[in-house]
Amino acid sequence: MTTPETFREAVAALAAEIRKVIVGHDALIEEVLIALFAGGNVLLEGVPGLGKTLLVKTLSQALDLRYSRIQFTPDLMPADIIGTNVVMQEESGRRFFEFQRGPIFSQIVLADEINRATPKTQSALLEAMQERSVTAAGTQYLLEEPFFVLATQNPIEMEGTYPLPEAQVDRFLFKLRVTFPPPGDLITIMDRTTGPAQPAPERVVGGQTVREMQALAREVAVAAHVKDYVARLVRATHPNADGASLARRFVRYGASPRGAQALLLSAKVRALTEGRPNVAFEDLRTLALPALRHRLILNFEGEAEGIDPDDVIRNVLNETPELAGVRR
Amino acid sequence: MTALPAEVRELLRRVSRAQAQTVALRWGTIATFSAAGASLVWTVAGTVLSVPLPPLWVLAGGVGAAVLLTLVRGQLASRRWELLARLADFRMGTRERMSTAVDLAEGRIPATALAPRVMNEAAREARRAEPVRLRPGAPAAARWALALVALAAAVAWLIPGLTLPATPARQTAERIRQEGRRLEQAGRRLQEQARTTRAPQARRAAPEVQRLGRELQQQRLDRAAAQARIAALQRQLEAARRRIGERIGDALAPQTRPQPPDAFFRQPTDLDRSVRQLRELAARLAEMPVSEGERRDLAQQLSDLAQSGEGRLPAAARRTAEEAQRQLGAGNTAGAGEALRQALQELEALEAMMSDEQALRRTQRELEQSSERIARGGAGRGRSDQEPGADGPQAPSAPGAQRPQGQGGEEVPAPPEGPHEGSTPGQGKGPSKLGAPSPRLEGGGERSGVRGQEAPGQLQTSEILGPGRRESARTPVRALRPDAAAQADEHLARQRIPIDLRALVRRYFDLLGRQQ
Repeated sequence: MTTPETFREAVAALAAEIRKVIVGHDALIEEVLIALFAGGNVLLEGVPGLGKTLLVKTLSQALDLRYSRIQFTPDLMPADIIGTNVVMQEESGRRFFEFQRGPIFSQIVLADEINRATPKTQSALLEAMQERSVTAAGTQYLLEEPFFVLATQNPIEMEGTYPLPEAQVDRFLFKLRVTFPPPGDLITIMDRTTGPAQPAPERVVGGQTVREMQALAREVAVAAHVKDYVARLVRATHPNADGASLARRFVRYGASPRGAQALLLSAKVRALTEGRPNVAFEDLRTLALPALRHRLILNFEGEAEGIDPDDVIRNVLNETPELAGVRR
Repeated sequence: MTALPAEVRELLRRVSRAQAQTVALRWGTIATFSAAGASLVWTVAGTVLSVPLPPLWVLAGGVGAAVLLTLVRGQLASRRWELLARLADFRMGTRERMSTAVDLAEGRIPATALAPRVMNEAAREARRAEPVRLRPGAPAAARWALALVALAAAVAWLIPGLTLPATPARQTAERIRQEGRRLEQAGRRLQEQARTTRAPQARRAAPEVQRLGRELQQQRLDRAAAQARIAALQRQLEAARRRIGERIGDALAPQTRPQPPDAFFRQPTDLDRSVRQLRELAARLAEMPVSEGERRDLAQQLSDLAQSGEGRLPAAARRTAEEAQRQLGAGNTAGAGEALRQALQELEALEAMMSDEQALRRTQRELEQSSERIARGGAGRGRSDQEPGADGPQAPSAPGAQRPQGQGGEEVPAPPEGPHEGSTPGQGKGPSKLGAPSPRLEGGGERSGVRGQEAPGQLQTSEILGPGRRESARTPVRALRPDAAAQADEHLARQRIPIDLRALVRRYFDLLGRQQ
C-alpha cells in the first residue's frame, strides 16, 4: 500500500534514475513526474537537441511500463497511431477483419514533433489522452492504465507544421519548456554521452505502483480558501472584470476549467512530493506556469506585441492575493 | 469529522490574541494620525478663528482616545477559527496545514484518507510554533504617527497666540491684551487700596492680579488659556475671601463661627454707624466732668448699641460695650472710656477685614467681567465692552484724548506737529516768546522721566453712592484732640463719602479746626 512516505521515496528514486542520464533540468524532471502521477499528459517544447526525447525514453526505462514512440510526420495517418482493421484469413478460407493495434496501445507514448502531423492525425490522440480509450471501426478499445502521453514540438521551425488546435492543447496537463543547459551542465552532458560507458537507468517503479500513487494523490486535502485561490487565479486569466491587468489587455480567452483541474491536481502531487498531506499556496504558485501557460489565447494586440503567456500568468499571480478578505 | 487537536486550538487562541493586538495597534496608529492631524488643523484654524479649546488639549485628548481605543480593541479577540488558522499559516509559514486541519475539523471540506495525517502534522507544527512569530506586529506607520504627534505638539506649543490680521482670532487676541491691561490696572488699584487700608489678603492678591494682567498682555494666549488663568486667580481670591469670612464670622460669634451672610458685606453702613456711635460716645466720655444726665444718656446709648449689635458687631466689642455700660453705671467714667476704646479697636479690626473682603470681591468681579468679555471675543467697542466709568461724568480723559473744540462746538484741526505745538491749533508759541532759555535747561542732567507707551490711558474707577438727604450735622461742635483730628482726616481720605457730601463733611471739620 502506498503511503505519503513511500510516494515520496518512489518519486525520489525515479528522479534519481532519470538524473543518471539527464543532466540538469531538475525542475523539468520534477514537473514531468508530477504530470505522470497526476495522470496527465505533457507537451514538451524546445529546440532540437535539448534532450526532450531522451528524457521521455529514460523515463520509460525507469518505469516498468510499455513504451512506444511515434514520430509525427505530415503523411502520418490516424490509423498509423491507433491501428487498423486488416483482413485476415482462417485456414478454412473464411476471411475476417482483425484490429491491429497501433503504437498508441502503450503506457508511455512519445509523440515526437507532434506539430508536424496534420490536424486530422493530431486529433487521433484526443480520445486517447482524455478518455484513455480509442475507437476504431465502431469498436472502443480501452487503454491500459497508467497511460501517459509526452509530446514534443519545436517552437522555432514553423515551416510545414500544423499548430496544435486549442482543444488538443487543452488536454495536456502541462506545457513544459525545455531550456538550454547552463555551461556546467553542458560539460557534464558531453562527458556523460561521449564516454565509453553509457548510463542505464533501472526500473524502480511498476505500473501498479504508479496507479496507487495516482490514487493517493487524489486523497490530498485542500483547504477551502486554497480552492478559492485556484478559482480566482483561473478567473484572473480572463479579460473580464476579475481579470489581472495584463490579462484584460492581451488575452482573448483565459484558462478553461480544465486548467483549474490541472492546477489543483498537480498541486496535490507536488504536496506529496514535498511530504505534505495538504496543498499549499506555494504548490499552486510553482505549478501555475506549466499548468496554465498553454491555455491562454492571446488577442491580436498580445500577438502583435509578442507577449509571452508566462508574463500574463506572473501578472495574474502578483495581482491575486492569497488571503482574500483576511486582514493580516 | 475529525476533532481538531488541542495543540492547534491553543495555537489559534494565541494567534487570536496576537491578531487582536495587531489590529489594535493598527487602529491606534490610525487614531493617532487622526488626532495629530486634527490638532494641526485645529492649531492652524486658531490663527484665523477663535477656537474654544487649546490645540494641546485637542492633541492630548485625541492621543488619549487613541490609547484607549488600542487598549479596548486589544481585548477583542476573534473566535473564527478558519480565519485564525489562515493567519497562523501566514505568520508561521506552516503551508496551509492549520487551515486545512480546521476545514477538515469543521467539515468544510470532505475528509479523505489523509485527514488524520493532516491533523497530526498540524499538531506537530503547532507544538513547534515559535513564540516570536506570534508577537503582535506594530504597523510600519506607527513611528510616523509618533513623529506626527511630536510635530503637532511642537506646533501646538509654538503657534497658539499667533493670529492672522483682520481675523476673529486677532480680535480675540486684542481683547485678551485689552483685558490684561485692565486687570493690571485693577491690580495696581488693589495694591494702593490694600496699602491704605492695611488689608493683608488684598495686598497679597494685588501682585497676582497685576502679574495676570501682564501675562495676558505679553504672552500669546488663546481664549481658553486666558480664561483658565483668570479662573485660577478667581479661585485663589475666592479662597482668600472665604478665609476672611471665617475670621469675620469668628469675630461676630466665636462659639458657632457662622459664615456672615452676603448681606452683611453688602451693607457695611451698620458697622460704620456703630463705629461712629462708639467714637461719639468715647468722645463724650472724654469730656470731663460728665453730668449725671449725660451719664444716663450714655449708658442708655451703650445699652442700645450692645443690644442692636447682635450679629453685626463682634461679640468681644459687644461685651466691652456692656462692660463700659456697667462701669458707667458704677460711676467709673475713666474705666468706661477705656472699655469703649477697646471696643473701638475691635470694631476697627473688623472694619479692616471687611474692607479687605470687599476689595477682593471687587477684584473678583473685575476678573469675572474680563472673563466674560474674553468669552464674547472680538475687540468690540460696544457700551458693555467699555471700561467701567469710561462714559460717566468722572471718566478721566487721557491727555490729548479729547480734541479741542471751537466756540461753536466744531472740532478744530489738530495742532501742527513740532517741538512747540500748543493745545490750540496755530497758537503754538515760538522760542522768541518764551524768553531766554533757562540755564537749567542746558544742564546735563539725566532724564528721569519714564517714557510711556501708547495705551488707552490709566483707568480710574470709584464707587459712587447715591446722594444722601441734606441735613445739618447732629453732632455738636466740640474741640477735637489732635489724634482724633488726624483720624478724621484719614477716614475722610479713605472712607466712602458720597461725593456731594464731601464738601459738607470737609466744612464741618474745617469748622472744628477753626474753633480749636
